[in-house]
Amino acid sequence: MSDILLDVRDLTTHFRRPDGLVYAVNGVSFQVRRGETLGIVGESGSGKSVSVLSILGLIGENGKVVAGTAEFEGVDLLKLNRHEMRAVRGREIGIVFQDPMTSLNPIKRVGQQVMEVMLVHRLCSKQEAWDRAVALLEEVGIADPHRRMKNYPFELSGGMRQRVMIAIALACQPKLLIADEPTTALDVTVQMQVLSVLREAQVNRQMSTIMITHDLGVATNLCDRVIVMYGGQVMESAPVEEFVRHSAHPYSRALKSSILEIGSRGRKIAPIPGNPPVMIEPPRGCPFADRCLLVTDRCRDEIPDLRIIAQEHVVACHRAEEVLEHVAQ
Amino acid sequence: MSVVEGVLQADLRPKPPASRRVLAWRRFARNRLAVAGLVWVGIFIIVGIIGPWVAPYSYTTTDYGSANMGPSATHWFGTDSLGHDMLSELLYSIRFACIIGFGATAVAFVIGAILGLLAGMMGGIVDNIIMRLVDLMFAFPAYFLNLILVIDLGRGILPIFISIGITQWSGYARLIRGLVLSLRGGEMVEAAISLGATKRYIALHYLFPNIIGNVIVSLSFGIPYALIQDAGLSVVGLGLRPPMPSFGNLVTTGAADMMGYPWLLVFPAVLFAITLLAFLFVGNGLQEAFNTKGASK
Amino acid sequence: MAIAKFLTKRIIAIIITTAVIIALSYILMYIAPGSFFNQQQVGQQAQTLAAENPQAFQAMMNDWKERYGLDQPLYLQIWRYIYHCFTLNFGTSFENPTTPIMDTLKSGFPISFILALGSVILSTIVGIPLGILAAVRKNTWVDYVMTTLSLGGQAIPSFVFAVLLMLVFGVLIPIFPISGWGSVQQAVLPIIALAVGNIGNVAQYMRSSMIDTMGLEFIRTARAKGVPEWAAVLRHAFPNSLIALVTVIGPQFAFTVVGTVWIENLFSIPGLGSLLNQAFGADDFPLAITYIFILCLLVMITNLLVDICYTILDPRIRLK
Repeated sequence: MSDILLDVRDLTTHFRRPDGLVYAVNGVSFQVRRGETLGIVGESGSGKSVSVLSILGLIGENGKVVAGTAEFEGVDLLKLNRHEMRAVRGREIGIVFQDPMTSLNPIKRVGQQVMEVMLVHRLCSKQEAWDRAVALLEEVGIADPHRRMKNYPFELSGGMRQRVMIAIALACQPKLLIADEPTTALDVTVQMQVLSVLREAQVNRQMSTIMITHDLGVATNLCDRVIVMYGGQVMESAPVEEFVRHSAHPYSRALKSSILEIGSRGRKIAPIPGNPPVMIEPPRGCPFADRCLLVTDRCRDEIPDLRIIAQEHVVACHRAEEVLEHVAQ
Repeated sequence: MSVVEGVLQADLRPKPPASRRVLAWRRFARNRLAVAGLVWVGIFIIVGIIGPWVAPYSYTTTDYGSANMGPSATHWFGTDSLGHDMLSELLYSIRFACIIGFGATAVAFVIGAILGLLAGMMGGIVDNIIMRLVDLMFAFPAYFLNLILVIDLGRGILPIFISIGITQWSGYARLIRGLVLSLRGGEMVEAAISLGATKRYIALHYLFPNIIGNVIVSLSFGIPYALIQDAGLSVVGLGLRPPMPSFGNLVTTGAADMMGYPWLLVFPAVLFAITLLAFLFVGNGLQEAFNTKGASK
Repeated sequence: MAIAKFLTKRIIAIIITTAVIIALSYILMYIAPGSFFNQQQVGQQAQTLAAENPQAFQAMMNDWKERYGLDQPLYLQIWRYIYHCFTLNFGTSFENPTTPIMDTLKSGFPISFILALGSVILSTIVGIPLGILAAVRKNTWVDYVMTTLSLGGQAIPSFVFAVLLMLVFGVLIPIFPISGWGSVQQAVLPIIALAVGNIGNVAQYMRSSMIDTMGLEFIRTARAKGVPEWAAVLRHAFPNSLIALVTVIGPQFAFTVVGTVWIENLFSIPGLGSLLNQAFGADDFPLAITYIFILCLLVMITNLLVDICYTILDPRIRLK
């Protein structure tokens, strides 16, 4: 059995808009190993969610995967027909979406919604599904699960709803869990609770997780490996230790210095000037060039390839070595 | 400055961005059904104006000798049981329909605008009373009020379009009141005032353009609605008093005679249906062009 | 408790609105030229009788005044009508002084009700699937044809459909009778004519509501769970869209009520609508007011029922 659970190569996704194409994902490659947690970090619009949701065909009718492969246990998900794809969704790969307020059906009881995923994949009988759903709700930390089964989503708090979403994602014992900014829409106080529920589930079940987040802190604390995306491309990818100490992309460094950390009082926060690009043209140079402090003419004309600069550490920057040298001094 | 220079400069000036009206027109023109509807409505209005002059006979002319004739060279659309020429009847119907449709909508709009202005500007109890009145108008079928008003006012052209107008004002009142209220308060206005704009400027540049689309769309749906109300009165025998022809009268009498003389029914019914469709397509096209929702009846 | 309060409020509103409508109708009929509510004019009409037999005329006038309360001040006359309407004591009509209006209603109301209900049911069961189909096939020819047809259905009033249906299926291809009431065949054309416009309305509303709902995130969740597309449409999107649809069925019923008046006149169906010409055309005002009262009440009660349905269907409102 291969160690690689999901192998995405050269994924390219476009969106059709009334005013033209949006080049959302441009040749993204990444791997997820069994049992590992992969963090995908980027600003909004960086293509991080789209690149993952593309794999499952969940990007809406205007989005289209135009190139690439996504092999899940050796099967290219992008070549599956609708029927085969359905068998993967929810069963092999569970997803937790960003906004629990809108991601649950407002007029169906919570219990029904948890049971549904087991029933559509014909895992068990209705009675069994009920019992399993109760157990799942308990597992994700919902008190009094029997009563909660009969509640409607609006009767639950945001944190509880996100726990329900997690329960749905876990219901079929998927091999891969995708968490698409699972805490962004929640209060800061419940964010940590939800993250620890996810973490626990991942450890207990030995499943792989993709954690999509714009919060570098979340990624470095929870993940084994981190991928930084920008403008629909992978900027850097490294094991978390390596990333924390030796990140070599100017964007990664800029991200790091733009966040507040406990214990870093007095340190200067450096917001990244400018805005992330809306990719209405195919990329020509490095997408970060316009906001990069180290930009050269070459950066604008030539897309930097992903290069290996240390073990398992790849970076797409013409001047990565200089960055590292500078940091070392 | 020489003339040549002037021309050159005029050409070099950057084109001003297309105005809201131009953009709306472009969106409208892209909608083929709406354009077709507009053409039909245009023809309808022109026929309404010139119809009585080109009509071969008067609507009062009866010719018992040639009653109930099928379409022929002398009577293109045939004749009815009293020997009225169907073509002439239709031409006059279009004239009366134009008057009633536009007249009723104008009456409704004037009443609605006055009450809406009053409600919006006076506020308080006046606003409350007027809005309850609006609720009342929405609460029960206006058609019945129409029937009573026709009894009060009579069954001529003027009374009919006035009574239809009286029953159709409530939507406009809401619209105009909304305009006034947004002029009086509202974040956009406050923001504009804080930037130094005068109320006049705000009204002309922000609110009026916003509301004009709604009003136009609303009016364009109001006209066919008034036509339906008018014809609906005829169906129960309380429309325009015969021998004045109207679509309602022609359809109703045609229905009674349909066994023997179907052409008496087909021409007015089909013409009426197409006209209503045309108005609706125009209204729909306008609604899309101005990008407004609702405000229709 | 909240529901009890809501119901009380709505019922009071209905009573007040109905009373205002009766009062308004009465005043408008009172001032109408030739109104028999107005004694002087009745006097003029009965001039010949007055000249020939003054005693009989006086007796008739007194009887008249007494029966309709015309010797009282206007506001009491209005109050009398409101009171009588709400106690369902409609009295006798002007044309048929011997038959109570209630008897006429008893024979006519069920017919009109069947007609209206039949058309609402038909338009719902045809319109909803059409709307869903158009939404699922959004921006294809199926959608365009459906949208254009439903616009047509809304633009053209039921009486035009009625005469065209009569012409085609009653005269050219005579498979259905075009007048009368009593058999199932006789109900077919009237109900279809009444339903066509509503089908368009329901279909178009269902379409836009479904398109809105299909774009919501919980539909994506359903897909992510591996729910088949048809189930995402029917089990998740449809119930949510239905809640919104219920709100248009109420106003639509008002149009249907007016429609029955037209249809009954065209198809010679002895329902409530057939009385309308007598009531308004022959200035039979007691009948006319009863008529307005019944139909307005019906429309408002329907709207109330729709609102109740709405709260039952939507747990967010039901449980709050």
